[in-house]
Amino acid sequence: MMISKGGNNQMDLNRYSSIENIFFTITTITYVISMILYFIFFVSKKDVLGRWASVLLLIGFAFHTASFITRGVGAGRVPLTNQYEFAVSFAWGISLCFIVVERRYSFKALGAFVLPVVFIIMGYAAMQSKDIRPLMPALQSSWLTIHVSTAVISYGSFGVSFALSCMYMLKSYFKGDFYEKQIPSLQKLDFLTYRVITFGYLFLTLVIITGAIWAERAWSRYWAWDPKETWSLITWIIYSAYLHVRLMKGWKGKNAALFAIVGFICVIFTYIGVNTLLPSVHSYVR
Amino acid sequence: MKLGVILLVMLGVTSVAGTMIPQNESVQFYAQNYGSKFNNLLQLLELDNVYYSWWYAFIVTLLIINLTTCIITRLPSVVRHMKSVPDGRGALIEKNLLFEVEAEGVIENLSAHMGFKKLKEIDENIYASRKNNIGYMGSWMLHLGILLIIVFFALGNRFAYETNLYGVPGTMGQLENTDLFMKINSFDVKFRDDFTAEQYITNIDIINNKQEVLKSGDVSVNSPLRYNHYSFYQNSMGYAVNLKVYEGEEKIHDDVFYQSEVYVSDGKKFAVQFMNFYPDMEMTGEGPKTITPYFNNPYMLYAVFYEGYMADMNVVPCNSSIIYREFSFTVERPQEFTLINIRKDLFTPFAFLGALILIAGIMVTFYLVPVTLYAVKTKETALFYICSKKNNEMIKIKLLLKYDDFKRGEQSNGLE
Repeated sequence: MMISKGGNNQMDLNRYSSIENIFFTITTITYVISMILYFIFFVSKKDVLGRWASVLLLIGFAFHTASFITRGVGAGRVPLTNQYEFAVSFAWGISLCFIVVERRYSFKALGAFVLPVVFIIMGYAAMQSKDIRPLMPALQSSWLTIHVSTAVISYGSFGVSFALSCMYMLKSYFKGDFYEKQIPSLQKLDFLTYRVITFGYLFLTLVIITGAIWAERAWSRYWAWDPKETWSLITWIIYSAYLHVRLMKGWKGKNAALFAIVGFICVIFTYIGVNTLLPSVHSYVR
Repeated sequence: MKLGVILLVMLGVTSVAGTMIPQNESVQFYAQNYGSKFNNLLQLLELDNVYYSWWYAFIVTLLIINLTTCIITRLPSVVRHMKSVPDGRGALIEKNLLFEVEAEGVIENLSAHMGFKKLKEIDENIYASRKNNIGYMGSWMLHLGILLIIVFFALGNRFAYETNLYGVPGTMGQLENTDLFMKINSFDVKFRDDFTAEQYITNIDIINNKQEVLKSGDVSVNSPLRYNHYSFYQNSMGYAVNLKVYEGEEKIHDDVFYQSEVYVSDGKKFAVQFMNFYPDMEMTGEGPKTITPYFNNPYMLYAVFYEGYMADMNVVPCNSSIIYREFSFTVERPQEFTLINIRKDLFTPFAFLGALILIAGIMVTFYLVPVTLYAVKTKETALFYICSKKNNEMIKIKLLLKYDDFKRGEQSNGLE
């Protein structure tokens, strides 16, 4: 038997934890203010509010990233291994994807729908244990970083597609001048949802493949029908079906939006539900 | 293709059952937890082993047939599309027109700026060029990737070699149905300050039947040892003691006794079960617990069976002697044992090849959209018609941006 000293010592760890807590709180507060501004912008269409919302989101995102890095430095590893870290990285992924979409397509109103999702996930993170625990042997692999990073990008994209689909449904069901003015055309929403899902789908495929490569090294089998694996596959099938019928049959509109919403519910279940509700080799993340 | 999606969705929906109902448990477990009626249904539909049930295999087989048919039937049209040359004026009225723009100046410059290769004259004053022809292959590659993964995964499940060997250092065992042997040289568990395990490391020799060492090395979690398509994985560990059993004064057994094992005497009159082990035992209100993973105060939980009935169960320190009727036994020399999982799956690389093709297929399908440019020259100017079978908004935006960029460049050159 050998004894090793892992990561930083307790004093360092406490210091890093305090800094991370401060960053986390600033992030949450900034996101909340940004969310409110996005919402007022969505209702009033005052450009100045939209600009401030974007600026605050960027500030929040910077603190979010800083909080993430601080935790990583404190833990001496990539902070992607428990339910708190997953939730924080999930929210980070959605914020990042939204920032890209907002900049690329000048689509500020989307913030009023994306930020509440980010806020809920941050709230969930706040309720989880923030304890930094050393990694079990199976998690000590460079595949961890690749596997979970691709998951963060993939699930972040699906989070944005969920918000876009919600906007689509809102505009489809509620007619009137307000919705006509405040929400972009259904065609644009549909197209953007498709683009974002395409991107998320590519990364979800990478998540499953990198996970399989890692599982082969750690557990001898690249696919063992573990609930987490199976639910990732179910999510992949849902988005595959969405893209298939869209490409082959030109399927668009409400049904496609509904599909995207169901897909994201599966993502949430795979990301959070499976870890907490089902027995799995991924249960260490509880 | 429609059937393919239906089958895929069916697999998705039925897979949920396998995550909700615990798999591969005993019939008693299901009867106890779900009641006898549901248990009957569960056994009939093999819901206790969903992913290996007859109906799941049937859906997967249908999907394989569907994908194979799709791949074979679509290949000629994919190749035809890739090799096809844009033809004449008819092409200009195709419904796939993305947009049209007026092209001034040297049209070759503009087409090159938009990412098209050299324009070819296909008719009088009509020129054409295509890009991303490989895009036609995307969907085909994607389907091929999925097919390869499913087929080679199924073959791996059916034909892969898998066995386990466990033991304390010094143990040597033969890999079932092979000429290979594995010897455990050492086993170490690396603990952190908080007694959590950081790594399990087993040093092994792979030996042939002539007792020649073919390969030696460490096996640890995430770092298997590979030899001639065999992979040796660090699977788990446990505790072992040396068990000596006496019938009266006569020693009838002296061997390593592994956790969870049951020793049964020759006449099946007497049996001992190794139930649990506490390397550094402390008795608490909730029962025995171990404080550290080190052998500071080793205790063992055993059960004794006499003539088929449980006769005794207790936690005893190592090196103590337990007597039951004419039998007695001692447990000593506690140590850790390692369990190595050995697997040889020749189909795994092909399944991963399928995964690579799948990824490439997704990228080609969604990011390399085939586009054709038609340039029609008139006396004063030229018109560009950009067409794509996949009426993709993204490619339209991209090409329009390039067009605007080119025009801005032209204008600034003109000003200079």
